[in-house]
Amino acid sequence: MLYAGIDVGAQSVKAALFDGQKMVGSVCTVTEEAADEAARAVYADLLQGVGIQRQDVEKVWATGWGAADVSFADGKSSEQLCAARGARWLLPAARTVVDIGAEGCRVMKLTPEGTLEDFANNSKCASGTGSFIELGAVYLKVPIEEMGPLSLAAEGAAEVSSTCAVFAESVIISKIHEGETRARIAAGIHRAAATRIVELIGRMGFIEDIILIGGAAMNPGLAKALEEMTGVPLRVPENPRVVVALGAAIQASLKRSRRGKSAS
Amino acid sequence: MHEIFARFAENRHEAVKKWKQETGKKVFGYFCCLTPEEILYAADILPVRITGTGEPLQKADLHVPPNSCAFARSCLDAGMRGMYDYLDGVVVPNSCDIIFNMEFFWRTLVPRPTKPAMIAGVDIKPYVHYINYPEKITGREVVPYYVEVLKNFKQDLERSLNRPITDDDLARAVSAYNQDKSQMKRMYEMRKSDPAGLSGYEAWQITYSSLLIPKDKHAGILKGYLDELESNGHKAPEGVRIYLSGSAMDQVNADIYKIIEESGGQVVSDDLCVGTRSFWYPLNEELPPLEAIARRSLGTVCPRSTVTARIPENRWAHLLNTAKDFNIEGAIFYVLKCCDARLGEFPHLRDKLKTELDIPVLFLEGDYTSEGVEQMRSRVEAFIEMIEG
Repeated sequence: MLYAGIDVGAQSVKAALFDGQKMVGSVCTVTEEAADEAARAVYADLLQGVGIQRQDVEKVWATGWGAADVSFADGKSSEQLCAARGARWLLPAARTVVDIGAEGCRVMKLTPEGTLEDFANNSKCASGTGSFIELGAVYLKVPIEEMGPLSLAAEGAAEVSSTCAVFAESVIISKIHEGETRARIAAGIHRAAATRIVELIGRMGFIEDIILIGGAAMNPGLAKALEEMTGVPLRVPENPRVVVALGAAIQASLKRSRRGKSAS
Repeated sequence: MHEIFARFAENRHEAVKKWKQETGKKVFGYFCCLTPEEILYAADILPVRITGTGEPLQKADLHVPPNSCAFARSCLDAGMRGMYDYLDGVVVPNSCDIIFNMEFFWRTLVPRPTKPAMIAGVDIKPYVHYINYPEKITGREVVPYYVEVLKNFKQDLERSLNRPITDDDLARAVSAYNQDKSQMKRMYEMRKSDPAGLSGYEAWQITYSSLLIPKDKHAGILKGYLDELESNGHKAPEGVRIYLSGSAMDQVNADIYKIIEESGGQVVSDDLCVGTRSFWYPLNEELPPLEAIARRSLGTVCPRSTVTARIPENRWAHLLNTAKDFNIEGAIFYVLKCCDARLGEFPHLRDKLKTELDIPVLFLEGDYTSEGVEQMRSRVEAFIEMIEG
């Protein structure tokens, strides 16, 4: 029996296929299309990649910002719940899940049994999210993929304000004028983003194991900054971007329907 | 929903203006549920609670810094734009640090309908009345002091209105307020059942309209409405039972009730000033009326007083009491940014709810806009889903 999960995020759409035992396929596409069309395209890619037909899939479950717009889904669940399901499936010892996306950062606390116990989100603010680091990359004129490796090469870090992505811009530009190295500024940007995220992890109590997922988890500079600040090793799964989509597929396999609301 | 409650809740200004036109009576605006509005009622004035607008600020930003309470700024903006031009007076109590400034702001920035009556440099018919509510609300000296404050307020009103306010008038007000309080309490009792007797949004409409309709009239309509609901066995849609706590919850942000319902929850009790705090404690009819009013006002368990009270437990007990009997499954705190009073006590309340009642708590940071409420939808959904397991 196959289950598909579709995670419509702020910047990309992710889809994963779960057969009850393992993840049999996944796709992640950066998109600017409307949620439903983008989800359709990504879902078609997923099916084609695995080589199966639509009717082979028992259920499709949507999650993420645009979940409500995915018209062909059999149901939807919150990204917090799906993140918890996916992360726990990949790492059964996970008690804290840190999900850093393009425009949101969420920290989920799990019970020892693996159910969602509490969560904290970033407020209306881009610091502590992937787009904060992307903006930094734009000012530094460094491709986003190189931000992490660049910061790892730095000795120490330049001080960058963590309070506001807009203020951070002027700080970064003035640091460039002061002659700071790009590596040290990149390290500073990661520390600034991490400051906000650590605050959220702290609210959930720093319970190990901590697993880092979401697009920004692929950035080794951010993972390092987080580890330095928390003093706790973070586990990063192989493909951190599709964990929430996987969680949605797992959720579909559990066939939960929401109380007082028909699955639509 | 009863047509009158819906009309006042959805278009408060038009509804109040119409009432004023029909009755020819005076209308005063006031801030905060701790205002001794019973005295206004005794003077045959309709007290209406001042709330803000969901629209972006047009004028108040020039005078009040943006890092202060969005609710207070929005109220002032509405006043400066003339949205409250039908008021015959305004009452500002010394409640929180931003509201007490409203006396100055409203007096100096909001156009008034009448000219001041200056005698020896004093306006003997002020448009804006200030009530020096004590900073600390507990202690032996507080009640006599506050009764004195209310006596002066009553005299100011008598002079402004050119009419006496007798003890009989006050006793009549106390009795009308108690009647409405008992009907409101009955309405909350109906929400103890599962599913609740009426939905959170319906209850909000009734509560909010009680701050805009004369209490005797509100009590009468509410009694009839509740009788009707009881006889036809009306029930709210089933949902995870939610306790709502937070800052001002008026027409700007009441959509949070709908969002909770659409996410599979149902608000069944609350700790809100447009909620339990506006009616939970009756006035003592055995006491001299002014003292009964003073004690009711001092007993209003506003978070403004938590940090200054010698016994913050009074307020915390209110929260636990209004949560305990309603079989709550989760609590949502909707707290406005910069609301120091609320934010300061939040960690205590969260821990109390978690440890004493063993219920999960969701914290939402509000900005007093309707879009801001919509952005909370995904968190509310996740929270309710988490409770459902």
